[in-house]
Amino acid sequence: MEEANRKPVSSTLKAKLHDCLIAAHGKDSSVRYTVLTSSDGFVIAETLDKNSGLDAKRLSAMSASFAGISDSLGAECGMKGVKGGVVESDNGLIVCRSIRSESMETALLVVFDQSVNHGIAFWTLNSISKSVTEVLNAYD
Amino acid sequence: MENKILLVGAMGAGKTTAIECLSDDPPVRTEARNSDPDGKKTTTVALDFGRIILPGDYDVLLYGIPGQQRFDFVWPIVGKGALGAILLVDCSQSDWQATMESFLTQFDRLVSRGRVIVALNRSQMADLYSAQEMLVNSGRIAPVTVTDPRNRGELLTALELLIANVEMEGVLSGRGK
Repeated sequence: MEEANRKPVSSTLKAKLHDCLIAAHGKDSSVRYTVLTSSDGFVIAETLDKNSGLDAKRLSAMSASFAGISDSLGAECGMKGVKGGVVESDNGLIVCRSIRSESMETALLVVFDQSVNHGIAFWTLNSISKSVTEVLNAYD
Repeated sequence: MENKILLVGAMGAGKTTAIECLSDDPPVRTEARNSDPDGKKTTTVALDFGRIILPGDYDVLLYGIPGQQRFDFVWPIVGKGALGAILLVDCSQSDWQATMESFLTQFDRLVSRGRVIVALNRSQMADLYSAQEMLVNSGRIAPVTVTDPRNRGELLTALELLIANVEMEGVLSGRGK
């Protein structure tokens, strides 16, 4: 029911954004998967392994919540220009970043395996964010 | 010590508005642009948080959940340790009875202990009877109020009613201070 009411993202735009996510896997082998979601939690593009058992819809909703919490926490702490948040684990890093254009607000989730370090993770995240932003701006 | 109260209900039921209206301080919000072109401009994606001190030193922490089913993973996280909940129901929504039933089921742990108030908004008298009938037919006991989430007085009445129910169990913190 929620899906039926949703403002559609064109399939062309989705394909271009998916290309941005796929490209990240080629640049950094520590990227396990990525999800790009609307800021209210709907999947736009993802690179999950179909056999992973992971649910892109749930990850999208969680990414949107995490981005929302990051924004509010940053604002509460007096921080400006909050970009996102990081979850650290023994198995790697989960990084979430808000990406906005004139007409779209999105959140990017990138999950890295344990071979990554923070520097590489943020370099990769910045790289994906840049390409996603360029695509979004071109479609505004 | 604080007492945690939830505001639950579907998207657009008025949870964010109610917390904004009730809270003594500006509330914490996690709003994002709403993709639904027929809906409101923004929607809560993680939680709302506000705080109100009631007479008797009742320090009440108000937590609002995001109403969409896709955010259901947030509900137990935000709801942990809650003493009770106000279920806001917008009766102008065509499927409000199904929505009400769904939230009563989701928060059954609180409902079964008499710690939920059903607060109807944009309702007719028939809706009030319908809600009461639903509760009776499902064997649940919960007070039903008519509450405009923009009306602080009506919200306070619902909150006081909930607190009175919880108080009967003697678990509320700050009592008699």
